Amino acid sequence: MKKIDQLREQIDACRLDTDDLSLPELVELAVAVRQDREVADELSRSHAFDRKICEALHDAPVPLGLADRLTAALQAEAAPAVALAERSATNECDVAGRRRFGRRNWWVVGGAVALAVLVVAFAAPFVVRSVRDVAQNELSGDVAGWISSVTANKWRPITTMPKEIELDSAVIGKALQWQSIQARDHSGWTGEVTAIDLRPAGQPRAMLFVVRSSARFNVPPTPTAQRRLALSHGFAATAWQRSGGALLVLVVEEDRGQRLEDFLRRPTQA
Amino acid sequence: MAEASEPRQAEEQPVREPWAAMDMPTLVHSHHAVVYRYAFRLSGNAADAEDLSQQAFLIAQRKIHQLREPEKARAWLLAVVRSCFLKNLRKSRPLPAQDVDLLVEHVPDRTHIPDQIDRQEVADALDELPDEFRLVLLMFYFEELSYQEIAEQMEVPMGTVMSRLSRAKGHLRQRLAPADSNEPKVPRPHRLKAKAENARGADLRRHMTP
Repeated sequence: MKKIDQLREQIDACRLDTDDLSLPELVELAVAVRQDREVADELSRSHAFDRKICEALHDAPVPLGLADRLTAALQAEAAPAVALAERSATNECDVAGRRRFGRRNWWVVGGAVALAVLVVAFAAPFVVRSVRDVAQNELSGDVAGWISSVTANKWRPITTMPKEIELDSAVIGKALQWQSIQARDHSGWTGEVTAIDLRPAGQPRAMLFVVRSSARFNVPPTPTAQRRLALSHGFAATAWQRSGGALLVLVVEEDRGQRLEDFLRRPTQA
Repeated sequence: MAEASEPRQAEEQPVREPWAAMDMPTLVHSHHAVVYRYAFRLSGNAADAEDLSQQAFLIAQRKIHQLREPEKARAWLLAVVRSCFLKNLRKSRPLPAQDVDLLVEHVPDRTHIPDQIDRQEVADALDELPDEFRLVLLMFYFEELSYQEIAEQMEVPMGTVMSRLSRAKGHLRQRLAPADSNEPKVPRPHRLKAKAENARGADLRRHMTP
């Protein structure tokens, strides 16, 4: 028992399901566990205790609607937060603390969003009947949503892709797999979005989004790497729409080395 | 805690592409529960935990470009929660310059493994710990950090971390020892020398509650 007392700090510092016993400060414990059954048993009991405590600590009820409130706050605070971050990059928590909403404001924001949704839902059928012109900044927001909607376990073999979905001859790269994007948050227009994967899994991604819609997109008729959509998080994207054709959006992981230029034929090549 | 609760992420979720996993709605959806629970254990009450969660996600939104590996999102977010908690804490009152002396008497020699752990008992035991001890304990259990990593994050010697961790665990063992244990349960007011000095969380709650 005295031995256990001496080793108590080391026993308590040894995490379960890890190789902590190989850490230098726990070498004495590692030796004792091999040589002394009592110490080994106590370590085993300590780990069982840790497991129980860990379960208990993680067992706390999460308030209903928390994720929705957090998302609403992030959207509401996005613009001011960015401005504040630029002003004071070293004081984030303080700034966030001052800027954060109180719980009363959650309800105000929530109510406003709900009201806006109702109004949009009621008015949308009347508005969407006419052809919708989609600006580039609106399209950028939509593309960011598609990127986050791409789902790893929904890819399908390229041979099963509907024939009416075609790659543009300006795009270099072999279509490997495809999936439909459940894009419900288009900025006021309707259409079907298909993602086509141009790079094998595990490599920096390159993807072509093919959009069939009656909307008119304010994009050039041919692709150019110079005219880009405004995306964040290391992506680069360009969009184009040939006369009477689908909208095409090429997206690459630029921060991992992919370049738009590498996936687009030059005009003379196309 | 009479609030309604969400299930513990039992639903099957689509597998996000690695490159798509770092957008904020996905981060919130995937990690809000663990972020909230960590904030709840750190702050000690639901209202502060929600505020702390919001603060953490706001910071995450600004710094999401720093998150290069989506599989590390959980650890990254928990570190942000801890950072926010500490900043709030320091703002409300300075941390003591020297280690708080946590008296852990009558800790059972052998670790008892209770069949059922009373959640409220765990919460109470946690609540009685001085901030420095509770923080190390939660970094160990929630962030799953080693004593070395905790020492690096906290910028304190490894020996200090091991000592605090062991004393904090000793306190839990003592509090959760079965009633028929040979070791007497010590009345709460005498357990922690630092308790009265610390008045854990009270200042923080005042500070954070709108």
